[in-house]
Amino acid sequence: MNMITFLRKRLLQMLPVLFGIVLIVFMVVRLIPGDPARIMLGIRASDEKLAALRTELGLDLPIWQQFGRFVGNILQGELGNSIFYRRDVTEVILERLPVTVSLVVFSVVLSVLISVPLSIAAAVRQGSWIDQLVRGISTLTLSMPGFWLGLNLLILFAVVWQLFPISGFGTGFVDIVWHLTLPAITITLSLTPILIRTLRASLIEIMHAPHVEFARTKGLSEGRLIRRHVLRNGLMATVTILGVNIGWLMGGTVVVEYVFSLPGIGALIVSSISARDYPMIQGIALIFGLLVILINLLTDLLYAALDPRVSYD
Amino acid sequence: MTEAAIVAPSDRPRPELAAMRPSVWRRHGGLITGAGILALILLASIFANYLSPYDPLQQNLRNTMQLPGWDHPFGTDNFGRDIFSRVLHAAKLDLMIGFLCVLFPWILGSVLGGIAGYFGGIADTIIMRVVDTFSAFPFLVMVIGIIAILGPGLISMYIALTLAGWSMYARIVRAEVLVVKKAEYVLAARALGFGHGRIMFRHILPNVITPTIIFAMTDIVLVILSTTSLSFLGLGVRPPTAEWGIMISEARGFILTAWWMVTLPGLAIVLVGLALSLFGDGVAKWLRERG
Repeated sequence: MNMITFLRKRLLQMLPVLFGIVLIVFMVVRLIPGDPARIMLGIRASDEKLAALRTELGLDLPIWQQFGRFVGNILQGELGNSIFYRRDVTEVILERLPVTVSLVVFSVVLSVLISVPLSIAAAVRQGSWIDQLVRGISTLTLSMPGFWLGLNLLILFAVVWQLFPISGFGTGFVDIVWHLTLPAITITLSLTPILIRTLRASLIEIMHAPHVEFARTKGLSEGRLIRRHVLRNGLMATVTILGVNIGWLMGGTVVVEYVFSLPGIGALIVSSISARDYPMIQGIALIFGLLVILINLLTDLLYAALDPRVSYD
Repeated sequence: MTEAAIVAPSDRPRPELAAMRPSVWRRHGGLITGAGILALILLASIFANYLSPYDPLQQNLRNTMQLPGWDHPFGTDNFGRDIFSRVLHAAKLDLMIGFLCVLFPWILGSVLGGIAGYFGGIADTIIMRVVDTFSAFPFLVMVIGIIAILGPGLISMYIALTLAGWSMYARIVRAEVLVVKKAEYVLAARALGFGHGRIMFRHILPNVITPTIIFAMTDIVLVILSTTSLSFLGLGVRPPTAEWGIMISEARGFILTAWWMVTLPGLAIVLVGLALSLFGDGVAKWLRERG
C-alpha cells in the first residue's frame, strides 16, 4: 500500500472522530441550562441585543438546522464573534496560537533531550544506582502539580535571582526563548517522567528482543548494540509515546500559560469561561481537538517512515 | 519461600523470619512506605480538628503574612489565617475529590467497556467510536469545556472528570473481556444456560478487574493533580473553602513577598502524589506477581 492510499484511509478513519468533536463543541452552547443568550450577555442586556445574539448564533432555528449552519461556518473558517473581545474568534485565536505552539515545541524538544538519554542510561544499567536515581526523580516530579512547580520556579528564578522575566512573551527569537524558558521547564518537568517511564520500559523490552540477544551472542559490543539496535527502536517508541501524550501536553499549556501570564490560547480559554465567552470557548476547544488529531496523524506517518517493517496499512 | 518453610525445623522460626525481612522490604519497600505515608495522611485528615492549632477560617488581620515559625509552622496568609491548619483541613476534601474522581470514571468505563466487549456487534461499534472521540480530546480541555457548560463548582468538576476519564477504562475492560469471554469456564457457564448478567458479573468481572485497578493506581495521581489544578484556575472548589489548589491560587498575588503561601501548601499535594505513586506501583507489582 502506498503513502497516498494510506493517507486516504487514515483520513477516512478520522471522520467519525472529527464529527464527534464538532458535535461536542456544538453542544457546548446548546447545553447551557437556561437561555444561553441571557447567560452570555448578562441580566441587564436589552431584549433587542438578546434577540440579535440569538439570530447571530442561530439559536432561533430548529436544532438540526443549527448544526448544519455550525458545520458550514466551521468549513469556511468562521467561528463567530467573541462576546468579550467583540472581534472575530478566528482572528483572536490565530493571533495567540503562535505563543501556544512555540511553548509546545520548546517543551517537547526539551523533554526529548532530557528523557531519551536518561531512559537509555536507566534501561542499559537496569537496577543500578543511575536507574534508581532516574526513577526516583521521575516519581518525585510526577507528583508535583504544574501550577505549583511554575510558581516556585518564578519565586526562585524571577523574584529571588531575577534571571528570567515574571511574565509575558517577548519579541524576536532570543527574547521569546528567554520568556518561554521557565514555562517550558515547568511543562518539561511534568512531561519527562511520563516519557521516561514508558520509554525505559520499552527500551528494556527491546534489549531482550530476540534480534538483540542474537547480536549480543554474535559478540557485538554493548556500545554498538545500543547504537545499532536499541537507539533506532527507542526513537520510534519516543515518537509513539509523544503522540499518545499530546493531549496531556496541551492540557499542561492551559495551566502554565495562566501561571506565567502568557498570551496563548490556553490562558484564553480559562479567562473565556469566567467571561462566559462561549463562541471563544467553542473555537479554542475545536482548535485543540483538531491539533490533537493532526498530531496523531503525523505520529503515525513518522512511525511508518522510521520503521521499515511498518508498511502503510 | 514455601520450600524453605517446609524444611525449616519448627522450633527455630526466628532466623527464617529475620532472613525474610530484608527480601520483603526489598520487594515491597515502595508499597510499605507509600501505604505508611498514606495512612498518616488519612489519619491527619480525619483528626484535622484535633491536630490543627488554629481554626482554618479564623482571620486575624493583625497577624497577616507571618513567616513560618514556632507559632505558625507554615506561616500565615494575607488574612492572617494559619496555613498549617488550612492545609490539614483541606486534606479530607482533596483526598475525597481525588478518590471519587477515579471511582466514577472507573465504574462508567468498566460497565460500557464490558458491554462493548461482551455483546460485540453494533453495541461495540457505537461505544468504541464514542471512546475514540472522547479520547481524541485533550483531557483538560474537555474538562474545561464541560465546566464551561455547567458553570464552575464541585459537582461540575465530578461530572467533567467522569466524562473525560472513563474512556481509558472502557478500552482496558473491553480488551480483557474479548479474551476472557472465549475462555472455557465462560463457554461452560453459557452452555449451562446462565443469564448474561450472571456471566458478566460472576464469571467475567472478577477476571478482568485487575488491569483496571493497576491503571486506576497511576490515574489517581494525575487526577489529584488535575482537580487541584482546576481549583487553582478557579473552575473547581470555590473560596473561602480550605483546598490546596485554592490556597495556592490565592497566594499567587503574593509571590513577591510571601513565598511560603505558595510553596508550603503545595508540599501537601507533592506528598500525597508521592505516597500514591509508591503505593500504586507497589500494588501493581504485587498484583502482577500474583498473576
